[in-house]
Amino acid sequence: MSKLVLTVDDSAAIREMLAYVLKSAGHRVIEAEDGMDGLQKALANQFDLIITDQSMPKMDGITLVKALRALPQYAAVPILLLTTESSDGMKDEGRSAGATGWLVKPFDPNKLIDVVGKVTR
Amino acid sequence: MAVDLTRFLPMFFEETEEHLANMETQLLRLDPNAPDPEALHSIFRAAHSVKGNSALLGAARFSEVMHRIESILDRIRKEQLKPDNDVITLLLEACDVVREQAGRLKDKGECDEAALDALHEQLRRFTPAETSAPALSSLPAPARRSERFSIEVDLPSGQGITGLPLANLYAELGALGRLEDVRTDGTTSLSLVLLTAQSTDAVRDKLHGLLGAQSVRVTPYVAPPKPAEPAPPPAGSASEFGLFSHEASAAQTTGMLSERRLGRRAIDHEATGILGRRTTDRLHLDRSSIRVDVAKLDRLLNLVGELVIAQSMLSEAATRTAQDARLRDSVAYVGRQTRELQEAVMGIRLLPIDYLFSRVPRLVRDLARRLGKEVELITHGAETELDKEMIEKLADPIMHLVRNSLDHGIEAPGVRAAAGKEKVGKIQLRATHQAGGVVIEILDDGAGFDRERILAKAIERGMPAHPGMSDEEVWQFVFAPGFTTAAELSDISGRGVGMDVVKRNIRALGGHIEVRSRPGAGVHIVLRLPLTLAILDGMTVEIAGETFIVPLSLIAEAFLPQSYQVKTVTTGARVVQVRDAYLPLLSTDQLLGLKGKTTTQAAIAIAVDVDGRRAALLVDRLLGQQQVVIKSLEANYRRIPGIAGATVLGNGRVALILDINALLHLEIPTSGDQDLEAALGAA
Repeated sequence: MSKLVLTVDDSAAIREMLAYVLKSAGHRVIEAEDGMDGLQKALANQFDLIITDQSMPKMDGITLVKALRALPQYAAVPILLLTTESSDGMKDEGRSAGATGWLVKPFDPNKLIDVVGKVTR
Repeated sequence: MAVDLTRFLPMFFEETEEHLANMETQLLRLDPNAPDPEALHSIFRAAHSVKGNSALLGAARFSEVMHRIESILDRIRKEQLKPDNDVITLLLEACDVVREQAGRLKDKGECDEAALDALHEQLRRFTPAETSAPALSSLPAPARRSERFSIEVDLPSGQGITGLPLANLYAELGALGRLEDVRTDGTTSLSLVLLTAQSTDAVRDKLHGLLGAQSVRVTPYVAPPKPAEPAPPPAGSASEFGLFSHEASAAQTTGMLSERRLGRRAIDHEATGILGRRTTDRLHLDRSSIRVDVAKLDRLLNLVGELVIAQSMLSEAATRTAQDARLRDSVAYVGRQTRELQEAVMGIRLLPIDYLFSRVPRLVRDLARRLGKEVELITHGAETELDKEMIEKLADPIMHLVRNSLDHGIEAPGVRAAAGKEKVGKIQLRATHQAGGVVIEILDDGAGFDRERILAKAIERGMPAHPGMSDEEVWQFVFAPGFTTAAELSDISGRGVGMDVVKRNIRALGGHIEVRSRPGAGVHIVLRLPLTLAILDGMTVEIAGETFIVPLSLIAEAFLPQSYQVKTVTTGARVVQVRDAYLPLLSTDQLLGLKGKTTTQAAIAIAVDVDGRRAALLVDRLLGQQQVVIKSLEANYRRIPGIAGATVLGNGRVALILDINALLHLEIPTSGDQDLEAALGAA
């Protein structure tokens, strides 16, 4: 089932890689380069899933999650945090911001597709 | 599904390199006494990104190193550690080591473990306790200049948050600073935390303008007391993926969460080897711009070059034959558009010279430390743009000149003080656009050239030097191969190896170099360069019935030599008197081995000046000036002495571009030059 996915990361390489994997699974992808860019794009489109990095210029991933969760149209949309390490601090922050789950970089392409399938079901 | 991700590897290497360069730039700017929190944040983010990339690159060791660096940065921001010279030097060295190892990894697929061990050990000195890396979001607000504000927005009744012009609001907030928190109850109010360097009034004005004065309140932010942290879920801390269970923390969130009852399930992460280490073609992509392979740009530039030629052929044909004014107008219009297109395409290849200038502070810092000198580096015009290839080729010469200024120019602090100068020397780098080209200047306020020593050395080496020479003439000696006045070897600038190379490199770029110096006041070096290597301003001339191009930048003047001006010296060579100087008079046709018929009587002499070496070239006719697109003769035919390249003229004929410097060194061939005849035949 093709989903419209927003990927937010300041690393062009990560964005490219996400898009490549997601598109190869038949999803449609729009990319944003930081939290603010992501928020603007989320306001302009209705996404089925949002995957965002944590550390970014302009607006970080946690604030993006909070801002998205404040919007009725994104109250129930799955949001995955991309993180460098899976620490408890990250999880607390992610959870209280309202993220759906986390994914540690580097991710296995097949697992990513798997996860996307699960959270967008 | 088999997905090959190795194609992304080069991008990760490239990004790692960019992050390291960014760290370096920020570190060099850091004030040890009052480190800017914004800069620290930026260094931290870069280090964090490298750490994040390391797993993708298959370099887990980088991750350890970056983790240490994060800890050090954390101590700096907590004011537990002063970022003094030693700390900064260590961090810079760490960047070097990681960069070098990343290079090794990329080329050879492995790192030098010992180098990373050594670095790790060194970094450990500044991180006494085994600390976990601080969470990024706990980094400080840039406290000195920026402040946090609480913004309370009343939501339009009945509409909730969707009643707000959200896109504009967020865009406005993004322009003001960094949005750090968003909370809402969904119906009555929206609470935001904004970190900004703007004043309360400025923030208030912006938001009042957007939302109306009644519905917005801006107040200084007061951090709420930290709520007791919920116990972290016991499992999954080492897993690579997980879902949050929101039941435990629903109260903390906005209350609008979907309380999805998705069981947290850890999915094991398979081997890290999802990315092999094979390097593939370089992919270039950037955040706000598209990276394009230079080869593609070159192809575009080439095609446009061909179009320019085709257009000038068309325009020539039209002016010759077309009686129709509309056709002529159209052709003229095509001509203008073609030139604009050409300029636009060339513009794509232009980069700010900052790409080069930004490498200099590190060099200056390291050298100054080694030499025990104090130097301030000032750059102007870093935004000046020039061709990418030019920038790359200028790196070595400019680095060399700066190195020279520091090593030979700037005096030791004691010497400067004794001379009544400021202890801290100054080196300036300046770039400006001038007359269709770029001028780069390197100035120092050091001791300047020592005229007597240069003269003595020149005489000792048997060079044509005499005390009556002007300063400008004396300075030219420093460009002689192997020339040096340094009494002893230094591993920094070496024994004068270099200035001749610098000059040759600048020459090869179609530029030239000027030197000015005043004793005690320093040296001022001026590099004049064309904007691009692809186009040349040329003088079209006729020699023995063939058309050639002489680079305009080398022509001093053109004149009709009178017989009384021409003298034959004992070797049979001829000279021509131009005012008070005698210039060698060269028969270009003979030099090129053409079966010429150029006579001094009918000919025109072009006085050329190549780095102070002057001569007059005899040509039959001057045909005019024009910009020509340079085509490599080597790439299309073969190298011919005395010829720098070829171009296609408006009439569709190929004209060869003369390599004046090489011509001045050519011996007149005894027989006709078959190569050149063949090249002209082919043309």
